[in-house]
Amino acid sequence: MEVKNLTKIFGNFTAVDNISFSIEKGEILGFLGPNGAGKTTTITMLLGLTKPTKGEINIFGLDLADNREAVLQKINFATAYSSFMGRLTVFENLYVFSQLYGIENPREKIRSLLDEFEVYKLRDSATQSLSSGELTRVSLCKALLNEPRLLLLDEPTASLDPEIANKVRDLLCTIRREKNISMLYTSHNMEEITRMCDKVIFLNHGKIVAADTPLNLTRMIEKSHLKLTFDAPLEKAKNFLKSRGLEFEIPQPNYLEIVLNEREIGEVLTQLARNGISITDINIEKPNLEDVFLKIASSKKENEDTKN
Amino acid sequence: MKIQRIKGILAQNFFNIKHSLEDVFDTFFFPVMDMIMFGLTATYIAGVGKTGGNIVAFLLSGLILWNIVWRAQQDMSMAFLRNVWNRNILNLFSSPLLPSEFILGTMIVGLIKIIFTLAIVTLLSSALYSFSIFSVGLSLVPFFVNLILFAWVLGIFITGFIIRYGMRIQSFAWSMIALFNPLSAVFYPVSALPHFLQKISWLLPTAHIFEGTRSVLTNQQIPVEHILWALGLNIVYLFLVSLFFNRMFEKARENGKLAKIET
Repeated sequence: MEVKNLTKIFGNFTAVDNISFSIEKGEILGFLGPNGAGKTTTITMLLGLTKPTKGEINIFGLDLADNREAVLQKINFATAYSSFMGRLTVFENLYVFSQLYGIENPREKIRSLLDEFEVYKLRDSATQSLSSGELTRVSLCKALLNEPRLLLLDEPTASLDPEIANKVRDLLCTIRREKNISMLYTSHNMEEITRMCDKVIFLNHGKIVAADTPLNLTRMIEKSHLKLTFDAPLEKAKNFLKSRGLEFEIPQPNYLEIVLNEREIGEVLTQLARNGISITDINIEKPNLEDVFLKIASSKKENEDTKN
Repeated sequence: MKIQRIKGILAQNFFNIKHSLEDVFDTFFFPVMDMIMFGLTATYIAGVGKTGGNIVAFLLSGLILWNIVWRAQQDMSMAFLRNVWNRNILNLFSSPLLPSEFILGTMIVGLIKIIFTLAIVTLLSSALYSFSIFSVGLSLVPFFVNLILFAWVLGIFITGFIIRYGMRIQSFAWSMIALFNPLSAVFYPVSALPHFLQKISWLLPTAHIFEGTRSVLTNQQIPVEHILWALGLNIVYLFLVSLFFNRMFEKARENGKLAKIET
């Protein structure tokens, strides 16, 4: 999929501002950003549900604007925010979509997908009686009915409890490994994106503010957080940290947080011990995508303030 | 346009009927109750006013035929609304389904349902009031076709409006038809309307059909002129409403209403 200069303007509001990106075969691209960043608007444009104000969307070499029907036959979509006809059974809902996607042997296909997602026992249950986790799995069955080559997933694990969300992520990773499907994955959950995606795009106010692999993005931040529980007088610890010129915080007596470069950690721990500050517990927090996002957002704000 | 996708929409509607008691009620209960109430009223008026049997035939034929327009229009709009209420619209229209296939599927479902309704109501009116809608003879076929066509015109028009303006106007699906009842002169001749409304009334295919029905019941003559007028108007309206629906669908894609209609 290749997206060039995609823009969507609603009246005076620019929801998506001239973004370009591509997804290679078998790749998972993560879309990160706060509410209103333009993630869902982008997905609805990729599905042809919303018409772009400007820009091009090419999927499998076809221009979406002129080949909506042919493109939608080869892709699929799942979101936590949509549902199915509540009174229809799981099988009936999937049967309807099997017809819409022109599936041959729909009964067999539905059976194998329900088996794969461990929801076959729900085949004859009314869809409205399913839990969020069950509904998400049925939604993924629908999304795989037509054996799509590209899957658009809009916050598929939102509103799931951690255990079920983890299971869904595992299932998606398995599908990607076995079927080599490309995916576009939006989420608020930075950890989820780090785990699932090969490439990440940060969107803010409709613009791409950063795009790279999760590892390269976290490398943008050099500082780690060293969290220590210690057994020594508070003043002694404070004096040591001040003498080293380190950035630190002591939120509770006998507990401190130091912000420092990863390569300094070993030396600081050795020096603390040599100065009679005995360490009883150590926790090192490396920068994550959330830190990257906050850094990007704050530097952008500073730039805007400077301009004004 | 693909037959299998239209079959998908038919399947969705039939599965829904299977699980929805109120849908069965909508199809049979209300038309039957209306028929009983109007039949009794007409019989009473005929007895008091000594106006003869025609009043029963006029009222019952009007009621039975109006039910065709009412039910078929509502079935079409409700099929769309049910998908919105169940938050299934994004799933539907992110598939290769074309809006025209969705509309065609709901037209067919409406047609099948109305045939069943008509059969039940006709049987009951024959049994209770010795009146059969088949007494209008061969004219019944063009009457039926024209009424169904106009119901589809209204159904497509209202669905297009809801897609464009969102759920705040969803009540149009069941209320807008009431605007057309007095203008269609279902239970009285067009001449009973104020003069300026008569001109508007003649622009409705339904007015020609109901006027034609009364003419058959009174003179036993096939009202060819009314039938042709109704058919001509329906063809023009179907063409215009198709353009209107496409425009509304495209507009909803432009302003993002289609993607946000469930929220």
